[in-house]
Amino acid sequence: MKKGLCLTVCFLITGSILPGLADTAFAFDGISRSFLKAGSLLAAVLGIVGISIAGFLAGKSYDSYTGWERFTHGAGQFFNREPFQKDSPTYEKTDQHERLHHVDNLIARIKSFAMLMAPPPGGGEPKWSPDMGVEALPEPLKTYYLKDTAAYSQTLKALQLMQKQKEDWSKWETQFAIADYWSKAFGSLFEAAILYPEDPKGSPEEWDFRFIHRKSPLRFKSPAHASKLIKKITHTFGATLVGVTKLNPDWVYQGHLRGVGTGDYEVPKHWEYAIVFATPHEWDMFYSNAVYGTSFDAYSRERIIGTRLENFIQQLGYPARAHVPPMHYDLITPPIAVDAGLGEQGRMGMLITPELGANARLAVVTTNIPMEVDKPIDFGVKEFCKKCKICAERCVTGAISHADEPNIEFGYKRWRIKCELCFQVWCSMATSEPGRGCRVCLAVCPYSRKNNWLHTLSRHIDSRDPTGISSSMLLWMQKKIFKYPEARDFMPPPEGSNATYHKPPDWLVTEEWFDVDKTW
Amino acid sequence: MIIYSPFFKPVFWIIMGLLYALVIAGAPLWAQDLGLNITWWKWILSALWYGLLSFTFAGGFTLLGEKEPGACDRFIRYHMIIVIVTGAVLGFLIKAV
Repeated sequence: MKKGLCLTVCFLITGSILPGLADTAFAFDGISRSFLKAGSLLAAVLGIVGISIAGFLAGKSYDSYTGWERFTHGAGQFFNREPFQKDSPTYEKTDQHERLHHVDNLIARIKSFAMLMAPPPGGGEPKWSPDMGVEALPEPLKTYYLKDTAAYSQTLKALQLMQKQKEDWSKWETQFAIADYWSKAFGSLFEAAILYPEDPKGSPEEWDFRFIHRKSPLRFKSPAHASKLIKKITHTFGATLVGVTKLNPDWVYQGHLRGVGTGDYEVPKHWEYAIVFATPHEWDMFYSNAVYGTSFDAYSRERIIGTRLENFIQQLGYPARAHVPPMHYDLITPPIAVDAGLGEQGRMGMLITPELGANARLAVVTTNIPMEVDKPIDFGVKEFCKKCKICAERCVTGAISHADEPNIEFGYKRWRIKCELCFQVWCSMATSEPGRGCRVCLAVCPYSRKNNWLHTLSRHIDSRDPTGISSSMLLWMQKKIFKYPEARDFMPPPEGSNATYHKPPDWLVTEEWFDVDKTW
Repeated sequence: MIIYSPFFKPVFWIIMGLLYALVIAGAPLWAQDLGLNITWWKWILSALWYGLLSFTFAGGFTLLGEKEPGACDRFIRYHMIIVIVTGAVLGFLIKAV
């Protein structure tokens, strides 16, 4: 805006004065005419040089690190969603839709395996080991893996890889020391001893009301006021994107409820609305996935926001529960964010937003404050994902579907992710633990671009072109201009070369700062 | 960094504005001296071509700023092909029509 104003004023003033001067005062003065001609030629060249410098600075500027700029005032949520709002989400719902089961969550399954395979606290033999076979697994794992035997063998392979990863870590620890310790420093915020927000204890009817001290809730003037205030407060707590929706019960896991345990539970009545919020990863780190990356930076921000929001809402006199990463959820977050119009679900199963692309980690607070809800949006992701497939091509184990059309899962249309194969990658990277993850699919997504003029221009053109021509052109350019490592290269040697999408930032490179013998 | 300071940024764009104004001021003189009959639509096409040239370098260097040197190189090379072809067509139009 400022740039445009400065340019316009200069055009008007100088543009009207100089030609006048040229025509009158200098018209018969050959030297001045030549001077003006030479000056204009030089200016044309300098204009190109200047715009190149401006472009370079725009690319380099920390102002373009979307989600980290003035987010407490909501400045990170800059995309005007109104023209793209729809009455229903872009995922399609069939008549056979069903509520998700807790065992459908990969992390829950892996957590169960870890508990079964660990020796009991008082000593003795673990409850289960791979040689006992699938039949010896407790329910609901047994039924789940009997239905999907491929997933069972993939899980066993992942568990073996996990063991090898632990053994191999000493080979990599010095090389990736900063990246790993930086990740763990964020992760220390959700170690059991200092867990924020605290994990529920007891039923939701008790736990979600525990900070309520008022006799009756503070009444909002209107649902619109409620929605506006809650969003503003969530931004001030650190969220880049915030949306509000009615909670679809299908997204709440059945078979398990935090604080109560395993069993069949109805969705608590006061989980009527979902406030869903997103924060990005640090961009330079994010682009150097997988081996220099982590999920924990965004996770810890999400947890802090969730803790604050849960507490704030309860102080207003309303029940609230935070569902936060990495595994403290009673629900699945991406479709809730889709319902709340934050973005659309991409081929890789994650949320893709107009501002952050796939660099958006999610958390949800459920409550019963009557709020005005947001509408889902369609800004062309589904159609783009059908053509793009970059994430699928770069996935090390082929966990992401290459199919042109989405599959139907739980009665909803989405591209199927082979979670166990995804988890195998987590267990194969040169990291200290599988929890560090991979995120290559997020980093290579063409929507995961910073907020500078070039990418923002592309975003606006792509989302507003109903013909799909510009998205095809942009995709063509994406594939021609940007070069990605081959999928295997992301793996450690000997399979790969610990490749990263971008060069890591110097602050994550050990040899830049420490006196170490570089043997890699 | 001073280059991102609240003082430098507007000054930079004021200087850019002055440069563009100087280009606008000098362009008719070049046309006169070269004996070119440039009508209003030729001026618009010329300005668009200069915009395309500027976009090529601005876009390329934005990618360089984003630590994508390879993408910068390819972006400028692909766009320069378009710039050269359209420049040749524009040159023909200006002289011949």
